[in-house]
Amino acid sequence: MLSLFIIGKNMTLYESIFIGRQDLSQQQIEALGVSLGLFVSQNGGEVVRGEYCGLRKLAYPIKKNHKGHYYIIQMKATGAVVAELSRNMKINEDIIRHLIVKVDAFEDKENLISQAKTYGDDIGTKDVGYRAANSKIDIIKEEDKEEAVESKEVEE
Amino acid sequence: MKEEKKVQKDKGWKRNNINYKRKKCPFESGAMKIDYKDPRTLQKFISERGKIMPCRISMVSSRKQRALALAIKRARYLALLPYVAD
Repeated sequence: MLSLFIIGKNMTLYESIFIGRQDLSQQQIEALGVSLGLFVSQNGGEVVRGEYCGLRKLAYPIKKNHKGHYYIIQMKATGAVVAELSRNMKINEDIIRHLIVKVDAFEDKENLISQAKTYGDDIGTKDVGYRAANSKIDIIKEEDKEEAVESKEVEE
Repeated sequence: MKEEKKVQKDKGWKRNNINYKRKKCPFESGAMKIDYKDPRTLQKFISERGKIMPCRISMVSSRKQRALALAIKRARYLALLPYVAD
């Protein structure tokens, strides 16, 4: 099996996200992520980033889980390694879902998943497309809140 | 005269003495980026039912609409967005 993995050549950039079971602890998920990263690096791949993204409410239940631990792995690897990684993730019962995608470049962004609120929390501001791009609703609302607080203080 | 007409065509159109501005794609202009890990942005392009908005309403260019649809479908798979929202 190892002979399939060509080292250094044909390396592609991949991004993998998996969702861990809700009753596991953060340490367990991080250990799991590290072990999967180790599998990639041992077989001639290279892990660029492995990061825990937090416990998040799922948009719909998966295998009776209403929450899930998100973990992201960004790596350089060959197709054969990724196929094997995907198989391992499928077998592991602590992982309820995983996705591996090919990317052109890794973006140095902060953790988007943990920043974003759970779906449905901020659905009140419903702007679409062009209007969404140019809307300053969020900013205005925050300013309003500050003003309201200030005015209350003044009244008191 | 011809040049003036061209300029007007780029900016928009005029009817009943009202100037209409042509809307631009928010992704082509660089105001937003498409990323399947960013449900906050993607949420603006789905209806309250969870359906993908048609690009004739959201004014996303057809090239970006294809990329957007793929990103939304990936986000749905990862339970960041719902398949069906009540």
